[in-house]
Amino acid sequence: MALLQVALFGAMVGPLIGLFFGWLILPAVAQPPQWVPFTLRGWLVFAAPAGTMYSLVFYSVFGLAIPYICRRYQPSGAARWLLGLTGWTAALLILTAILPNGEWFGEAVRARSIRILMTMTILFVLIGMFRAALDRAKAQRAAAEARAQVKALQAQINPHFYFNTLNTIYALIPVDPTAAQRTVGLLADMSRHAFASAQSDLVPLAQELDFANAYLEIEKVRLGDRLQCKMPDAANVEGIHVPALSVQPLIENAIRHGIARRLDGGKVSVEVERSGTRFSLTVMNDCEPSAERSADTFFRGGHALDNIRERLRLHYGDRASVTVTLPQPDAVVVTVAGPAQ
Amino acid sequence: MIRCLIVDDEEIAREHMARLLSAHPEIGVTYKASNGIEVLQRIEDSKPDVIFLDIEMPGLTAFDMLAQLRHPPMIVFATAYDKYAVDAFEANAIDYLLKPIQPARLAKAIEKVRATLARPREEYESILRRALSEFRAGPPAKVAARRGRRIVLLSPKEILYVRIEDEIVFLHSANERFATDRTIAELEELLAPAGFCRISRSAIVNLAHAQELLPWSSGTWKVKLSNNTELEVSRERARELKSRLG
Repeated sequence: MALLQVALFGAMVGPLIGLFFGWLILPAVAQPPQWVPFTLRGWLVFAAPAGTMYSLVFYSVFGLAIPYICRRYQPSGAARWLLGLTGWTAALLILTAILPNGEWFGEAVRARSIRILMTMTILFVLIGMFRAALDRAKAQRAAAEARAQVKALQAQINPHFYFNTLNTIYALIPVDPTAAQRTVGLLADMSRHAFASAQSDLVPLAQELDFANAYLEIEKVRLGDRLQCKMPDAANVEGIHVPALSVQPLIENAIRHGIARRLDGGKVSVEVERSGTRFSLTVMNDCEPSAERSADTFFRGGHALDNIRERLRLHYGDRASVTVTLPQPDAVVVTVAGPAQ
Repeated sequence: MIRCLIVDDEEIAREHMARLLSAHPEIGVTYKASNGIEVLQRIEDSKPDVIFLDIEMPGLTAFDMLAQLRHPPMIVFATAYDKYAVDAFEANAIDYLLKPIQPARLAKAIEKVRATLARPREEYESILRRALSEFRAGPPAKVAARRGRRIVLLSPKEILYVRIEDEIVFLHSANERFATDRTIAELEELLAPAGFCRISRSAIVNLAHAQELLPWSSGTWKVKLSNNTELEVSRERARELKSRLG
Protein backbone atom coordinates (compact mmCIF):
# COMPACT_ATOMS: atom_id res chain seq x y z
CA MET A 1 0.00 0.00 0.00
CA ALA A 2 2.74 2.41 0.98
CA LEU A 3 4.69 1.41 -2.09
CA LEU A 4 1.70 2.10 -4.30
CA GLN A 5 1.30 5.51 -2.74
CA VAL A 6 4.97 6.25 -3.26
CA ALA A 7 4.78 5.13 -6.90
CA LEU A 8 1.73 7.28 -7.51
CA PHE A 9 3.43 10.23 -5.86
CA GLY A 10 6.47 9.78 -8.13
CA ALA A 11 4.29 9.52 -11.22
CA MET A 12 2.63 12.78 -10.33
CA VAL A 13 5.68 14.70 -9.19
CA GLY A 14 8.02 13.30 -11.89
CA PRO A 15 6.56 15.47 -14.67
CA LEU A 16 6.88 18.57 -12.49
CA ILE A 17 10.50 17.82 -11.72
CA GLY A 18 11.02 17.07 -15.40
CA LEU A 19 9.90 20.60 -16.19
CA PHE A 20 12.28 21.95 -13.57
CA PHE A 21 15.20 19.99 -14.98
CA GLY A 22 14.35 21.08 -18.48
CA TRP A 23 14.62 24.64 -17.30
CA LEU A 24 17.84 23.85 -15.43
CA ILE A 25 19.59 22.07 -18.29
CA LEU A 26 18.36 24.17 -21.17
CA PRO A 27 20.92 26.98 -21.09
CA ALA A 28 23.78 24.53 -20.83
CA VAL A 29 23.08 22.48 -23.90
CA ALA A 30 22.59 23.48 -27.48
CA GLN A 31 20.80 20.29 -28.33
CA PRO A 32 18.43 19.26 -25.60
CA PRO A 33 18.88 15.59 -24.75
CA GLN A 34 16.03 13.34 -25.59
CA TRP A 35 15.10 12.59 -22.00
CA VAL A 36 14.60 16.20 -21.23
CA PRO A 37 10.94 16.47 -21.96
CA PHE A 38 10.70 19.52 -24.16
CA THR A 39 8.08 17.93 -26.26
CA LEU A 40 4.72 17.03 -24.84
CA ARG A 41 5.33 13.45 -25.91
CA GLY A 42 8.74 13.21 -24.28
CA TRP A 43 7.43 14.80 -21.17
CA LEU A 44 4.46 12.49 -20.78
CA VAL A 45 6.26 9.30 -21.79
CA PHE A 46 9.47 9.73 -19.81
CA ALA A 47 8.88 12.01 -16.89
CA ALA A 48 6.16 10.03 -15.14
CA PRO A 49 7.91 6.61 -15.22
CA ALA A 50 11.21 8.24 -14.28
CA GLY A 51 9.51 10.02 -11.39
CA THR A 52 8.00 6.72 -10.25
CA MET A 53 11.39 5.03 -10.29
CA TYR A 54 13.05 7.89 -8.43
CA SER A 55 10.30 7.94 -5.86
CA LEU A 56 10.42 4.19 -5.27
CA VAL A 57 14.18 4.07 -4.98
CA PHE A 58 14.37 7.01 -2.60
CA TYR A 59 11.55 5.56 -0.56
CA SER A 60 13.32 2.20 -0.29
CA VAL A 61 16.54 3.86 0.79
CA PHE A 62 15.33 6.71 3.02
CA GLY A 63 11.95 5.40 4.02
CA LEU A 64 12.78 1.75 4.68
CA ALA A 65 16.48 0.89 4.79
CA ILE A 66 17.87 3.87 6.72
CA PRO A 67 15.11 4.03 9.33
CA TYR A 68 15.64 0.30 9.90
CA ILE A 69 19.38 0.81 10.40
CA CYS A 70 18.70 3.76 12.70
CA ARG A 71 16.29 1.76 14.82
CA ARG A 72 18.61 -1.20 14.94
CA TYR A 73 21.95 0.50 15.59
CA GLN A 74 20.95 3.92 16.93
CA PRO A 75 23.75 5.88 15.22
CA SER A 76 24.40 9.40 16.46
CA GLY A 77 25.71 12.72 15.10
CA ALA A 78 28.36 12.22 12.45
CA ALA A 79 27.34 8.60 11.84
CA ARG A 80 23.88 9.79 10.93
CA TRP A 81 25.26 12.24 8.39
CA LEU A 82 27.51 9.56 6.95
CA LEU A 83 24.59 7.20 6.71
CA GLY A 84 22.54 9.85 4.92
CA LEU A 85 25.34 10.54 2.44
CA THR A 86 25.84 6.82 1.82
CA GLY A 87 22.13 6.40 1.28
CA TRP A 88 22.16 9.29 -1.14
CA THR A 89 25.06 7.83 -3.16
CA ALA A 90 23.48 4.40 -3.10
CA ALA A 91 20.17 5.75 -4.35
CA LEU A 92 21.86 7.54 -7.24
CA LEU A 93 23.91 4.46 -8.12
CA ILE A 94 20.82 2.28 -8.11
CA LEU A 95 18.99 4.77 -10.28
CA THR A 96 21.85 4.95 -12.77
CA ALA A 97 21.90 1.18 -12.86
CA ILE A 98 18.22 0.55 -13.33
CA LEU A 99 17.32 3.43 -15.58
CA PRO A 100 18.09 2.33 -19.15
CA ASN A 101 20.81 4.15 -20.97
CA GLY A 102 20.09 6.02 -24.15
CA GLU A 103 16.66 7.42 -23.87
CA TRP A 104 16.88 8.54 -20.24
CA PHE A 105 20.51 8.56 -19.36
CA GLY A 106 22.14 9.08 -22.71
CA GLU A 107 25.56 10.52 -23.54
CA ALA A 108 24.43 14.09 -23.14
CA VAL A 109 23.12 13.36 -19.69
CA ARG A 110 26.16 11.46 -18.58
CA ALA A 111 28.24 14.45 -19.63
CA ARG A 112 26.19 16.67 -17.43
CA SER A 113 25.33 14.29 -14.65
CA ILE A 114 27.95 15.96 -12.48
CA ARG A 115 26.00 19.19 -12.78
CA ILE A 116 22.75 17.43 -11.91
CA LEU A 117 24.39 15.67 -9.00
CA MET A 118 25.79 18.95 -7.70
CA THR A 119 22.46 20.70 -7.97
CA MET A 120 20.70 17.88 -6.21
CA THR A 121 23.35 17.75 -3.49
CA ILE A 122 23.15 21.47 -2.88
CA LEU A 123 19.38 21.19 -2.69
CA PHE A 124 19.73 18.29 -0.30
CA VAL A 125 22.17 20.14 1.94
CA LEU A 126 19.97 23.24 1.93
CA ILE A 127 16.93 21.20 2.91
CA GLY A 128 19.00 19.50 5.61
CA MET A 129 20.19 22.83 7.00
CA PHE A 130 16.68 24.18 6.96
CA ARG A 131 15.43 21.14 8.83
CA ALA A 132 18.26 21.39 11.35
CA ALA A 133 17.48 25.08 11.98
CA LEU A 134 13.81 24.21 12.47
CA ASP A 135 14.72 21.43 14.91
CA ARG A 136 16.98 23.74 16.84
CA ALA A 137 14.27 26.38 17.12
CA LYS A 138 11.85 23.70 18.24
CA ALA A 139 14.26 22.37 20.86
CA GLN A 140 14.82 25.90 22.14
CA ARG A 141 11.11 26.47 22.35
CA ALA A 142 10.64 23.18 24.20
CA ALA A 143 13.40 24.11 26.66
CA ALA A 144 11.83 27.52 27.24
CA GLU A 145 8.49 25.86 27.77
CA ALA A 146 9.97 23.43 30.26
CA ARG A 147 11.55 26.35 32.14
CA ALA A 148 8.25 28.23 32.12
CA GLN A 149 6.56 25.08 33.34
CA VAL A 150 8.97 24.75 36.22
CA LYS A 151 8.31 28.37 37.07
CA ALA A 152 4.56 27.89 36.91
CA LEU A 153 4.82 24.70 38.92
CA GLN A 154 7.13 26.29 41.44
CA ALA A 155 5.28 25.97 44.66
CA GLN A 156 5.12 28.90 47.03
CA ILE A 157 3.97 29.37 50.57
CA ASN A 158 0.28 28.56 50.51
CA PRO A 159 -1.55 31.89 50.76
CA HIS A 160 -4.15 30.31 53.00
CA PHE A 161 -1.48 29.27 55.45
CA TYR A 162 0.26 32.62 55.13
CA PHE A 163 -2.81 34.66 56.03
CA ASN A 164 -3.83 32.30 58.79
CA THR A 165 -0.36 32.71 60.26
CA LEU A 166 -0.60 36.49 60.04
CA ASN A 167 -3.87 36.21 61.91
CA THR A 168 -2.30 34.01 64.57
CA ILE A 169 0.54 36.48 65.07
CA TYR A 170 -1.92 39.37 65.20
CA ALA A 171 -3.92 37.53 67.84
CA LEU A 172 -0.82 36.59 69.86
CA ILE A 173 0.63 40.10 70.06
CA PRO A 174 -1.47 41.36 73.00
CA VAL A 175 -1.66 38.07 74.92
CA ASP A 176 1.71 36.39 74.33
CA PRO A 177 4.23 38.76 72.74
CA THR A 178 7.06 36.22 73.05
CA ALA A 179 5.11 33.60 71.10
CA ALA A 180 4.18 36.29 68.56
CA GLN A 181 7.84 37.16 68.08
CA ARG A 182 8.80 33.51 67.75
CA THR A 183 6.10 33.01 65.11
CA VAL A 184 7.25 36.07 63.17
CA GLY A 185 10.76 34.59 63.23
CA LEU A 186 9.50 31.26 61.90
CA LEU A 187 7.48 32.91 59.16
CA ALA A 188 10.57 34.94 58.22
CA ASP A 189 12.62 31.72 57.99
CA MET A 190 9.99 30.16 55.79
CA SER A 191 9.76 33.22 53.55
CA ARG A 192 13.54 33.38 53.20
CA HIS A 193 13.67 29.77 52.05
CA ALA A 194 10.73 30.29 49.69
CA PHE A 195 12.27 33.42 48.12
CA ALA A 196 15.73 31.89 47.84
CA SER A 197 14.52 28.69 46.24
CA ALA A 198 12.37 30.50 43.70
CA GLN A 199 15.54 30.70 41.60
CA SER A 200 16.98 27.27 42.23
CA ASP A 201 15.55 24.04 40.94
CA LEU A 202 16.92 21.40 43.25
CA VAL A 203 17.75 22.02 46.89
CA PRO A 204 19.26 19.83 49.60
CA LEU A 205 16.63 17.78 51.40
CA ALA A 206 18.02 19.01 54.73
CA GLN A 207 16.96 22.55 53.78
CA GLU A 208 13.52 21.33 52.87
CA LEU A 209 13.22 19.59 56.23
CA ASP A 210 14.19 22.79 58.06
CA PHE A 211 11.50 24.59 56.11
CA ALA A 212 8.97 21.89 57.01
CA ASN A 213 10.00 22.08 60.68
CA ALA A 214 9.36 25.84 60.76
CA TYR A 215 6.03 25.21 59.12
CA LEU A 216 5.12 22.51 61.67
CA GLU A 217 6.02 24.72 64.59
CA ILE A 218 3.63 27.38 63.33
CA GLU A 219 0.88 24.83 62.75
CA LYS A 220 1.40 23.60 66.33
CA VAL A 221 0.78 27.09 67.63
CA ARG A 222 -2.47 27.11 65.72
CA LEU A 223 -3.73 23.57 66.17
CA GLY A 224 -2.35 22.92 69.65
CA ASP A 225 -2.75 19.36 70.91
CA ARG A 226 -4.70 18.36 67.84
CA LEU A 227 -1.43 18.06 65.92
CA GLN A 228 1.22 15.49 66.71
CA CYS A 229 4.18 15.07 64.44
CA LYS A 230 7.37 13.14 63.98
CA MET A 231 10.14 14.41 61.72
CA PRO A 232 13.21 12.53 60.48
CA ASP A 233 16.75 13.21 61.61
CA ALA A 234 18.26 15.78 59.26
CA ALA A 235 21.72 14.16 59.62
CA ASN A 236 20.67 11.19 57.55
CA VAL A 237 19.81 13.07 54.38
CA GLU A 238 23.25 14.22 53.16
CA GLY A 239 23.46 14.28 49.38
CA ILE A 240 19.74 13.99 48.71
CA HIS A 241 18.30 16.76 46.56
CA VAL A 242 14.66 17.44 45.84
CA PRO A 243 12.79 20.14 43.92
CA ALA A 244 12.48 23.27 46.03
CA LEU A 245 9.38 23.45 48.22
CA SER A 246 8.31 19.90 47.56
CA VAL A 247 8.37 18.40 51.06
CA GLN A 248 6.46 20.96 53.11
CA PRO A 249 3.42 20.90 50.75
CA LEU A 250 3.13 17.15 51.40
CA ILE A 251 2.99 17.80 55.12
CA GLU A 252 0.65 20.74 54.67
CA ASN A 253 -1.69 18.52 52.65
CA ALA A 254 -1.59 15.90 55.36
CA ILE A 255 -2.54 18.53 57.92
CA ARG A 256 -5.10 20.53 55.98
CA HIS A 257 -6.94 17.64 54.37
CA GLY A 258 -6.22 15.02 57.00
CA ILE A 259 -5.61 16.13 60.55
CA ALA A 260 -7.38 19.51 60.57
CA ARG A 261 -10.58 17.81 59.42
CA ARG A 262 -10.59 15.40 62.33
CA LEU A 263 -12.31 16.60 65.45
CA ASP A 264 -9.61 15.11 67.67
CA GLY A 265 -6.74 15.89 65.32
CA GLY A 266 -4.11 13.28 64.58
CA LYS A 267 -0.53 12.49 63.79
CA VAL A 268 1.70 13.12 60.81
CA SER A 269 5.00 11.26 60.56
CA VAL A 270 7.72 11.90 58.03
CA GLU A 271 10.43 9.32 57.40
CA VAL A 272 13.42 9.24 55.08
CA GLU A 273 15.05 5.99 54.04
CA ARG A 274 17.96 5.44 51.73
CA SER A 275 19.28 2.33 50.15
CA GLY A 276 22.30 2.56 47.90
CA THR A 277 21.79 5.34 45.38
CA ARG A 278 18.09 5.84 46.06
CA PHE A 279 16.05 7.57 48.72
CA SER A 280 12.42 7.48 49.69
CA LEU A 281 10.55 10.01 51.77
CA THR A 282 7.28 8.94 53.36
CA VAL A 283 4.59 11.19 54.79
CA MET A 284 1.96 9.29 56.73
CA ASN A 285 -1.07 10.89 58.33
CA ASP A 286 -4.40 10.18 59.97
CA CYS A 287 -7.50 11.33 58.14
CA GLU A 288 -11.26 11.13 58.28
CA PRO A 289 -12.29 7.65 57.23
CA SER A 290 -13.79 7.70 53.77
CA ALA A 291 -14.91 4.97 51.43
CA GLU A 292 -14.79 7.21 48.36
CA ARG A 293 -11.15 8.16 48.74
CA SER A 294 -8.86 6.51 46.23
CA ALA A 295 -5.21 7.04 45.41
CA ASP A 296 -6.13 8.59 42.04
CA THR A 297 -7.99 11.51 43.59
CA PHE A 298 -4.69 12.79 44.96
CA PHE A 299 -3.34 13.54 41.50
CA ARG A 300 -6.08 15.69 40.16
CA GLY A 301 -4.73 18.64 38.19
CA GLY A 302 -3.69 21.58 40.31
CA HIS A 303 -3.34 19.41 43.38
CA ALA A 304 -0.07 19.82 45.26
CA LEU A 305 0.89 16.19 44.61
CA ASP A 306 0.40 16.57 40.88
CA ASN A 307 2.64 19.63 40.97
CA ILE A 308 5.36 17.83 42.92
CA ARG A 309 5.23 14.81 40.62
CA GLU A 310 5.58 17.05 37.55
CA ARG A 311 8.55 18.86 39.02
CA LEU A 312 10.25 15.62 40.01
CA ARG A 313 9.70 14.33 36.49
CA LEU A 314 11.25 17.47 34.98
CA HIS A 315 14.36 16.99 37.12
CA TYR A 316 14.72 13.25 37.41
CA GLY A 317 12.57 11.83 34.60
CA ASP A 318 11.66 8.23 35.26
CA ARG A 319 14.09 7.93 38.13
CA ALA A 320 11.68 9.60 40.56
CA SER A 321 8.13 8.83 41.56
CA VAL A 322 5.32 9.96 43.84
CA THR A 323 2.88 7.32 45.02
CA VAL A 324 -0.10 7.34 47.32
CA THR A 325 -1.31 4.37 49.29
CA LEU A 326 -4.23 4.05 51.67
CA PRO A 327 -3.23 1.34 54.14
CA GLN A 328 -6.38 1.93 56.23
CA PRO A 329 -9.56 3.89 55.58
CA ASP A 330 -8.32 6.54 58.02
CA ALA A 331 -4.69 6.84 56.95
CA VAL A 332 -2.85 8.17 53.91
CA VAL A 333 0.76 7.45 52.96
CA VAL A 334 2.53 9.50 50.32
CA THR A 335 5.93 8.26 49.18
CA VAL A 336 8.41 10.27 47.15
CA ALA A 337 11.27 8.21 45.76
CA GLY A 338 14.24 9.37 43.74
CA PRO A 339 17.99 9.17 43.20
CA ALA A 340 20.33 10.18 46.02
CA GLN A 341 23.75 11.25 44.78
CA MET B 1 -27.87 42.87 73.34
CA ILE B 2 -26.93 41.03 70.20
CA ARG B 3 -26.20 37.41 71.13
CA CYS B 4 -23.31 36.02 69.21
CA LEU B 5 -21.55 32.72 68.77
CA ILE B 6 -17.94 32.39 67.63
CA VAL B 7 -16.89 29.33 65.63
CA ASP B 8 -13.22 28.73 64.87
CA ASP B 9 -11.16 25.59 65.28
CA GLU B 10 -8.17 27.59 66.55
CA GLU B 11 -8.33 28.65 70.13
CA ILE B 12 -6.08 31.66 69.57
CA ALA B 13 -8.32 32.87 66.77
CA ARG B 14 -11.48 32.34 68.87
CA GLU B 15 -10.11 34.28 71.79
CA HIS B 16 -8.91 36.99 69.47
CA MET B 17 -12.36 37.32 67.94
CA ALA B 18 -13.91 37.51 71.40
CA ARG B 19 -11.46 40.24 72.36
CA LEU B 20 -12.23 42.20 69.21
CA LEU B 21 -15.95 41.87 69.90
CA SER B 22 -15.54 43.00 73.49
CA ALA B 23 -14.92 46.47 72.14
CA HIS B 24 -18.59 46.49 71.14
CA PRO B 25 -20.69 46.57 74.31
CA GLU B 26 -23.90 45.77 72.44
CA ILE B 27 -22.48 42.37 71.45
CA GLY B 28 -22.59 39.51 73.93
CA VAL B 29 -20.63 36.37 73.14
CA THR B 30 -22.79 33.48 74.37
CA TYR B 31 -20.62 30.60 73.21
CA LYS B 32 -17.33 29.83 71.52
CA ALA B 33 -17.35 26.62 69.48
CA SER B 34 -14.44 24.84 67.86
CA ASN B 35 -16.42 22.90 65.24
CA GLY B 36 -19.78 22.51 63.55
CA ILE B 37 -20.99 19.67 65.76
CA GLU B 38 -20.51 21.79 68.84
CA VAL B 39 -22.58 24.47 67.14
CA LEU B 40 -25.39 22.01 66.46
CA GLN B 41 -25.20 20.88 70.08
CA ARG B 42 -25.18 24.33 71.62
CA ILE B 43 -27.29 26.41 69.31
CA GLU B 44 -30.48 25.73 71.28
CA ASP B 45 -29.09 27.01 74.61
CA SER B 46 -26.99 29.81 73.24
CA LYS B 47 -29.68 31.14 70.86
CA PRO B 48 -27.36 33.37 68.87
CA ASP B 49 -28.56 36.24 66.72
CA VAL B 50 -25.35 36.07 64.74
CA ILE B 51 -22.58 33.52 64.20
CA PHE B 52 -19.04 34.56 63.40
CA LEU B 53 -18.06 31.51 61.44
CA ASP B 54 -14.69 30.38 60.12
CA ILE B 55 -15.26 28.50 56.89
CA GLU B 56 -12.57 25.91 57.53
CA MET B 57 -13.76 23.54 60.21
CA PRO B 58 -13.11 19.93 61.14
CA GLY B 59 -15.89 17.36 61.07
CA LEU B 60 -18.64 19.16 59.25
CA THR B 61 -18.13 21.89 56.67
CA ALA B 62 -19.49 25.33 57.48
CA PHE B 63 -21.99 25.09 54.63
CA ASP B 64 -23.21 21.61 55.55
CA MET B 65 -23.60 22.78 59.12
CA LEU B 66 -25.67 25.80 58.07
CA ALA B 67 -27.89 23.61 55.93
CA GLN B 68 -28.75 21.62 59.04
CA LEU B 69 -29.83 24.50 61.26
CA ARG B 70 -33.59 24.79 61.54
CA HIS B 71 -33.55 28.52 62.03
CA PRO B 72 -30.14 29.73 60.98
CA PRO B 73 -29.12 32.98 62.59
CA MET B 74 -27.33 35.75 60.73
CA ILE B 75 -23.91 34.62 59.52
CA VAL B 76 -20.69 36.59 59.28
CA PHE B 77 -18.00 34.49 57.66
CA ALA B 78 -14.39 34.83 58.68
CA THR B 79 -11.73 33.49 56.39
CA ALA B 80 -8.02 33.85 55.96
CA TYR B 81 -7.95 33.71 52.21
CA ASP B 82 -10.81 32.01 50.39
CA LYS B 83 -12.75 35.13 49.66
CA TYR B 84 -14.21 33.44 46.61
CA ALA B 85 -15.92 30.93 48.87
CA VAL B 86 -18.05 33.63 50.37
CA ASP B 87 -18.57 35.80 47.31
CA ALA B 88 -21.80 33.96 46.68
CA PHE B 89 -23.02 35.08 50.05
CA GLU B 90 -21.83 38.62 50.01
CA ALA B 91 -24.41 39.54 47.42
CA ASN B 92 -27.04 38.23 49.78
CA ALA B 93 -26.52 40.67 52.62
CA ILE B 94 -24.34 38.27 54.57
CA ASP B 95 -20.99 39.69 55.46
CA TYR B 96 -17.53 38.26 55.52
CA LEU B 97 -14.33 39.28 57.28
CA LEU B 98 -10.83 38.61 56.06
CA LYS B 99 -8.27 37.56 58.65
CA PRO B 100 -6.43 39.22 60.29
CA ILE B 101 -9.62 41.04 61.12
CA GLN B 102 -9.30 44.80 61.33
CA PRO B 103 -11.34 46.45 64.10
CA ALA B 104 -12.72 49.08 61.72
CA ARG B 105 -13.88 46.41 59.29
CA LEU B 106 -15.46 44.47 62.13
CA ALA B 107 -17.37 47.59 63.22
CA LYS B 108 -18.81 47.84 59.72
CA ALA B 109 -19.87 44.19 59.77
CA ILE B 110 -21.59 44.72 63.13
CA GLU B 111 -23.37 47.72 61.69
CA LYS B 112 -24.62 45.51 58.89
CA VAL B 113 -25.73 42.84 61.35
CA ARG B 114 -27.68 45.43 63.33
CA ALA B 115 -29.41 46.70 60.21
CA THR B 116 -30.32 43.18 59.14
CA LEU B 117 -31.58 42.19 62.57
CA ALA B 118 -33.91 45.18 62.52
CA ARG B 119 -35.76 43.60 59.60
CA PRO B 120 -38.06 40.57 59.93
CA ARG B 121 -36.18 37.38 60.61
CA GLU B 122 -38.01 35.37 57.95
CA GLU B 123 -36.71 37.70 55.29
CA TYR B 124 -33.15 36.99 56.29
CA GLU B 125 -33.72 33.26 56.69
CA SER B 126 -35.10 32.90 53.20
CA ILE B 127 -32.19 34.88 51.77
CA LEU B 128 -29.74 32.59 53.58
CA ARG B 129 -31.53 29.45 52.44
CA ARG B 130 -31.52 30.59 48.84
CA ALA B 131 -27.84 31.48 49.02
CA LEU B 132 -27.06 28.11 50.59
CA SER B 133 -28.98 26.12 48.00
CA GLU B 134 -27.21 28.03 45.23
CA PHE B 135 -23.88 27.53 46.84
CA ARG B 136 -24.10 23.98 48.03
CA ALA B 137 -24.33 22.12 44.78
CA GLY B 138 -25.09 18.48 45.44
CA PRO B 139 -25.81 16.54 48.59
CA PRO B 140 -24.34 17.25 52.03
CA ALA B 141 -21.28 15.17 52.92
CA LYS B 142 -22.64 14.59 56.42
CA VAL B 143 -26.03 14.78 58.10
CA ALA B 144 -26.26 15.42 61.81
CA ALA B 145 -28.52 13.33 64.05
CA ARG B 146 -28.75 12.43 67.73
CA ARG B 147 -27.84 9.24 69.52
CA GLY B 148 -29.20 9.97 72.96
CA ARG B 149 -27.69 13.35 73.84
CA ARG B 150 -24.72 13.03 71.52
CA ILE B 151 -24.65 14.40 68.02
CA VAL B 152 -23.36 12.00 65.40
CA LEU B 153 -22.60 12.65 61.75
CA LEU B 154 -23.94 10.23 59.19
CA SER B 155 -22.89 10.12 55.61
CA PRO B 156 -26.00 9.99 53.37
CA LYS B 157 -24.79 6.62 52.07
CA GLU B 158 -25.17 5.04 55.50
CA ILE B 159 -28.78 6.17 55.81
CA LEU B 160 -31.22 3.54 54.51
CA TYR B 161 -34.38 5.42 55.23
CA VAL B 162 -35.97 8.20 57.25
CA ARG B 163 -39.25 7.58 59.04
CA ILE B 164 -41.55 9.29 61.52
CA GLU B 165 -42.07 7.04 64.52
CA ASP B 166 -44.22 8.31 67.41
CA GLU B 167 -43.99 11.83 66.01
CA ILE B 168 -40.21 11.80 66.08
CA VAL B 169 -38.20 11.73 62.88
CA PHE B 170 -35.57 8.98 62.82
CA LEU B 171 -32.70 8.36 60.42
CA HIS B 172 -32.16 4.63 60.06
CA SER B 173 -28.79 3.11 59.30
CA ALA B 174 -28.46 -0.64 58.63
CA ASN B 175 -28.85 -1.51 62.31
CA GLU B 176 -29.42 1.66 64.31
CA ARG B 177 -31.70 4.64 64.38
CA PHE B 178 -30.89 8.26 65.14
CA ALA B 179 -33.35 10.96 66.11
CA THR B 180 -33.36 14.35 64.43
CA ASP B 181 -35.18 17.61 65.09
CA ARG B 182 -35.73 18.29 61.45
CA THR B 183 -39.05 17.80 59.73
CA ILE B 184 -39.44 15.11 57.11
CA ALA B 185 -40.04 17.79 54.47
CA GLU B 186 -36.72 19.46 55.34
CA LEU B 187 -34.92 16.15 55.14
CA GLU B 188 -36.59 15.34 51.84
CA GLU B 189 -35.21 18.58 50.41
CA LEU B 190 -31.78 18.10 51.99
CA LEU B 191 -31.40 14.49 50.89
CA ALA B 192 -33.02 14.59 47.44
CA PRO B 193 -29.67 15.35 45.72
CA ALA B 194 -28.16 12.33 47.53
CA GLY B 195 -30.62 9.98 45.79
CA PHE B 196 -33.42 9.82 48.35
CA CYS B 197 -37.10 9.59 47.47
CA ARG B 198 -40.18 10.35 49.57
CA ILE B 199 -42.39 7.25 49.53
CA SER B 200 -45.18 8.26 51.89
CA ARG B 201 -46.24 10.97 54.25
CA SER B 202 -44.01 9.45 56.90
CA ALA B 203 -41.01 7.98 55.07
CA ILE B 204 -38.10 8.70 52.71
CA VAL B 205 -35.89 5.94 51.29
CA ASN B 206 -32.35 5.92 49.99
CA LEU B 207 -32.78 4.59 46.45
CA ALA B 208 -29.31 3.06 46.56
CA HIS B 209 -30.57 0.71 49.27
CA ALA B 210 -33.93 -0.12 47.65
CA GLN B 211 -33.84 -3.67 46.38
CA GLU B 212 -37.35 -4.80 45.49
CA LEU B 213 -40.72 -3.29 44.87
CA LEU B 214 -43.40 -5.72 46.05
CA PRO B 215 -47.11 -5.32 45.24
CA TRP B 216 -49.17 -4.82 48.39
CA SER B 217 -52.85 -4.31 48.98
CA SER B 218 -55.13 -2.39 46.57
CA GLY B 219 -52.64 -0.60 44.36
CA THR B 220 -50.11 0.17 47.08
CA TRP B 221 -46.59 -1.21 47.10
CA LYS B 222 -43.91 -2.11 49.53
CA VAL B 223 -40.24 -1.39 48.99
CA LYS B 224 -37.72 -3.84 50.37
CA LEU B 225 -34.38 -2.39 51.52
CA SER B 226 -30.91 -3.88 51.73
CA ASN B 227 -31.35 -4.84 55.42
CA ASN B 228 -34.68 -6.53 54.57
CA THR B 229 -36.82 -3.76 56.06
CA GLU B 230 -40.06 -3.37 54.14
CA LEU B 231 -41.68 0.05 53.93
CA GLU B 232 -45.09 0.91 52.62
CA VAL B 233 -45.27 3.14 49.55
CA SER B 234 -48.34 5.32 49.30
CA ARG B 235 -50.41 5.14 46.14
CA GLU B 236 -49.63 8.67 44.98
CA ARG B 237 -45.86 8.26 45.52
CA ALA B 238 -45.60 4.84 43.88
CA ARG B 239 -45.35 6.19 40.35
CA GLU B 240 -42.46 8.53 41.15
CA LEU B 241 -40.64 5.80 43.03
CA LYS B 242 -41.06 3.38 40.12
CA SER B 243 -39.80 5.89 37.59
CA ARG B 244 -36.81 6.77 39.76
CA LEU B 245 -35.95 3.14 40.31
CA GLY B 246 -36.09 2.72 36.52
